[in-house]
Amino acid sequence: MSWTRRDFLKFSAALSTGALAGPLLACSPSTVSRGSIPESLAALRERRLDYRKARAVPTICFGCTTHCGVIGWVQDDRVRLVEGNPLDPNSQGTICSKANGMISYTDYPERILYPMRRVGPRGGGRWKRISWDQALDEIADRMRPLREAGTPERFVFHYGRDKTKGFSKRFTDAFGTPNRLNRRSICSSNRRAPLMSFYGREFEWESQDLERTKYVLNFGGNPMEAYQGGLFMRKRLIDAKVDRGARIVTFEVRPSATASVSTEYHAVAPASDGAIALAMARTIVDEGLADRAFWERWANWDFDEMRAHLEPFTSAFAEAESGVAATDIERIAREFARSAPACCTMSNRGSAKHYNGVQADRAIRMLDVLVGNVGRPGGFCLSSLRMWKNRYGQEGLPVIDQPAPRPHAPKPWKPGTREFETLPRDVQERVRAFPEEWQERYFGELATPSEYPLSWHWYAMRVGQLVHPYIQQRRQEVDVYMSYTLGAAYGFPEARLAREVLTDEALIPFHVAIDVSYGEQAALADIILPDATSLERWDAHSTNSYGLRPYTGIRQPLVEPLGEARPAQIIWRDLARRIGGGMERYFDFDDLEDYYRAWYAELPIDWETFKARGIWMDEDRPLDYELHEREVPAAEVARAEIDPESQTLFVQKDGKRHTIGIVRDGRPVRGFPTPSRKIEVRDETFPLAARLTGLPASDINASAVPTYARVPEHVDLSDDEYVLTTFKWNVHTQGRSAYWKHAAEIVHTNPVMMAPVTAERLGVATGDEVELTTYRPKGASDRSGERDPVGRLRNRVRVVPGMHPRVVACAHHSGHWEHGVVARGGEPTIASARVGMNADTSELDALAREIWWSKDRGGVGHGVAINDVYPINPAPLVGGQNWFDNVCRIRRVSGQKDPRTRA
Amino acid sequence: MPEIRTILSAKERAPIDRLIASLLVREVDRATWIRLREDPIPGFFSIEDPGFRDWIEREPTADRIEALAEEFARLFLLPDGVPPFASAWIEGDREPLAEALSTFIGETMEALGVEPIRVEPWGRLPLDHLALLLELVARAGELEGSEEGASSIQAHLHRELLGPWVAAFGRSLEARATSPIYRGLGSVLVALHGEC
Repeated sequence: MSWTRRDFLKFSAALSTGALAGPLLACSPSTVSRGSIPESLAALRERRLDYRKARAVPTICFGCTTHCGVIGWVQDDRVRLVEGNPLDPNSQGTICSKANGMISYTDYPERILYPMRRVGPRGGGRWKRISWDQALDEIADRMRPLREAGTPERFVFHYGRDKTKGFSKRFTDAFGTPNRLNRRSICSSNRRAPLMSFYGREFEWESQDLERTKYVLNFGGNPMEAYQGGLFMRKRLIDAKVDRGARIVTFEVRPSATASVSTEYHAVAPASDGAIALAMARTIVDEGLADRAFWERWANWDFDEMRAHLEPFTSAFAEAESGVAATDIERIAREFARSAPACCTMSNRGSAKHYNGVQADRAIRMLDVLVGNVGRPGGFCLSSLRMWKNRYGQEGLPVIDQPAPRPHAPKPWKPGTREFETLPRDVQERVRAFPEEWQERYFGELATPSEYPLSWHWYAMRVGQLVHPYIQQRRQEVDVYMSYTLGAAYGFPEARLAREVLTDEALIPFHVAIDVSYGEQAALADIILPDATSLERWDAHSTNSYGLRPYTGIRQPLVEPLGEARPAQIIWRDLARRIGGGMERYFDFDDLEDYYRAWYAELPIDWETFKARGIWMDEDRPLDYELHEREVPAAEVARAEIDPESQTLFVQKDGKRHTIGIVRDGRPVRGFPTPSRKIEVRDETFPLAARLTGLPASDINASAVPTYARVPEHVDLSDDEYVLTTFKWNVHTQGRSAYWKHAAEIVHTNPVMMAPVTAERLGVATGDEVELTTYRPKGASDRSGERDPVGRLRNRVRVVPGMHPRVVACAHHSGHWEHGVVARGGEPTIASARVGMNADTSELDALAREIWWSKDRGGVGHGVAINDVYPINPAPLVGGQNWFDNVCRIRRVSGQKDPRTRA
Repeated sequence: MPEIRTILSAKERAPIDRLIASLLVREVDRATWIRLREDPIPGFFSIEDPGFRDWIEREPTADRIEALAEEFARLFLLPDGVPPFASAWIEGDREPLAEALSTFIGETMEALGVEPIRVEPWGRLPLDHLALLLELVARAGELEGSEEGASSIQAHLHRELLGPWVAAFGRSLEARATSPIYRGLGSVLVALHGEC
């Protein structure tokens, strides 16, 4: 059939009279007079940002956990460039590549922009758009009955990267559920617990004074790659080394980026950090290099007892465990101690994410106490943390807090409560035996697993990797599961188990996912709600300061949310209003800016100035040195009593004793925010927790004092077994940045790295394919000792000199099968194929043409998803995932000629 | 159908562009389905797919409407679809391209007196969404004859904004769509705004 002009005109005229083809935009065109149409797109691609037209808006980066102050340049309602904010005392005006990744994910053409409801079976990949009203009504209708029935705990909120600074807690508290879960155990709980044990709840993170230090002793910390506060440390570390000649000594299993900028790098056997630290402590004590006066003033462990405890941990022992020469261990210990107080330790996952990691970090922390560098210039400092509420070290700062009214937190599940009676008998018995103060913090097995009491003893770190197994085991009945920026279905260890549970409608009848992108988690939801990105939303910001002067900042929207995306705060507000029953009164605001203005009402500068600067800091405030030596004000002393034995100052509140300071040399000083007001190098909490959970007293994790023992499954490694470790690329942030084009351009794959000697032994070379088979742990961990392999994966080899020969390393955030074509490296989603959808891949996604690393274009591809083969392996008591302990076997699959047979 | 670009003026094409734009931003509901039955629309969509007329004459049941909504989401809203964004199709590094597109479209909107970018109820459409581009082209077309140079503006917009990618988009849509309406939409786009 062929149309004539007459036909087309008829068609066009018919359309003109109907509503079907009305204008999209509300206003009418007036005249072509306000400017000129650009000459060509090609010319504009050269022009880029026009600073004459763009406006600069300060905000806070969301590229990783560090949260740097940045400035976004906005032109034509689009953020064009992100630069550092020089007013940020932490970042000192620097940024990393992840900052501009925010533009990538805000403008990602495959971003979720509308509420979606699944069509067909869960996980089938079929969706339809629904209105916000439909979405929120349906969710509220699911949630409301739980609250009305008095079973709010059947609503489970599981978040990944929540930086709303308590706003989401306002929602869960108002609803009444204690099941507010996170993924901290995946991340950092093994290194937070030792720090809080030593220095108190207020210090989940430290602030080394890198601007003045002379010596950094780094056990597996990696600020050059990924580290909470990493960027804040990078410039300071490099300045320290280059400008002031500071020494940086790094112990690592692989030549990380941080190792590469260190003065010395020692490739150590995995999980041997504790042995090295204890041997160094012994050297320092034996050679009279300890600051005994500081120890006796502030440590809660008798010096001579400590000396006796260290006796077995010789440098020769440490050499045998770690491979680091005893002479080096002793030399470094001397250099470190002689640099005191301008020296500091640094550690993170490299030391902590092991079965023995909590004790390793305690041993490392002990080194600072031994040399007396705590709180001293150049030393291991503790700076005021989090939102300011007149807590420890925050005296004199304006209070920064969410506006009233605030909902009450749920009540603990103490014996006699309805919730307690629903628990399995063995759990009830365990919890009944807990001290009362623990029972006051117990909220059921998902939020506060009783087998891991130190995951919630200091604060709610949870054990995220056990959430899905526990749901599968029916330890908590779930009616509504809401995941927020969570990637458990991809990124948790044994992620396939999370996917099984999330797919099972009998276990999780209703799953709501709030996220920016259509990731593996959202793919298993019933409703997806599109979140605004960090360039489109408000958030309060507060963290520890590496400049040692507290500051605060504000994340503010640079552009309106795209499509119908909404800030999570608005989503929860509107949901609360629909659920009703009194919930809504905690969300009585219309405009988010008004809400945050009230949050910052006490700041001594006006709101507009704060927004214009993005950062506020009291420039005249003294630096956070030796907070423990600050005198307790006389008015407080007058209200307090003194414990004659411990010399602690305390007040009675609600029938309980709260220490507020300690008397030292006749002076009432703050001390540390621990029960003893001292540094609790010895902490009886560990053996107590072990006894109450059935962990043998002989287990390393049951020790009251820092100690060392080899990881159980590493004790008898056979010749063909290796330790599979993982890491984060420095341009990525966990599993959630693979679709940021800006980041994916730089790094998009994750080869298996191994030392040349390892490759030689396996008969492989760079580019060859190997198969890794992983096994379960042997210590007191989940499914410990089971012999069947956890899983297998195939990946390419990259030979890297400097690796420890028993270690293979593979980054864990590649190989996505969702998050769109950039994350998938141009490959079709495997989820669709799995559920029988049209898996015809002949039609390549148009976007894939830009994915030059796509295998279809001859590139290396987008890597391999490896998290399925990591066993769920929580550390005893604390629950942090032992990411770096995995025993594996490796076999060559294919590749070049066997290098052993080459001429 | 390729002759459509030459036998109709830009002004005359504007309603067609708007029809396409509307189908790119909203699902086909029952009312739209019924409107699409009205002559001469079935004839237009039947040019490349003669089965359209029979298909559209079927009863728009809830299941059929939902199936179309699901297809709309699969094609235009979710990853792995046929993204209706210029930045997803024009070759080149994404960041500077998106930046250039935003500038081009922003300045074009300003020049055409188009201010709001918020399209209710779909929110702030990305500036390079095909529906917005078609709206701009339609507006430029409507100015044809009343404003000096409007015709050349329309041609310029077509050359710069649509020509480089709409044919590829349309062909992909034809191939990926399963329903006659979206297959037809792909065909019409190729015909109207294909290679220039």
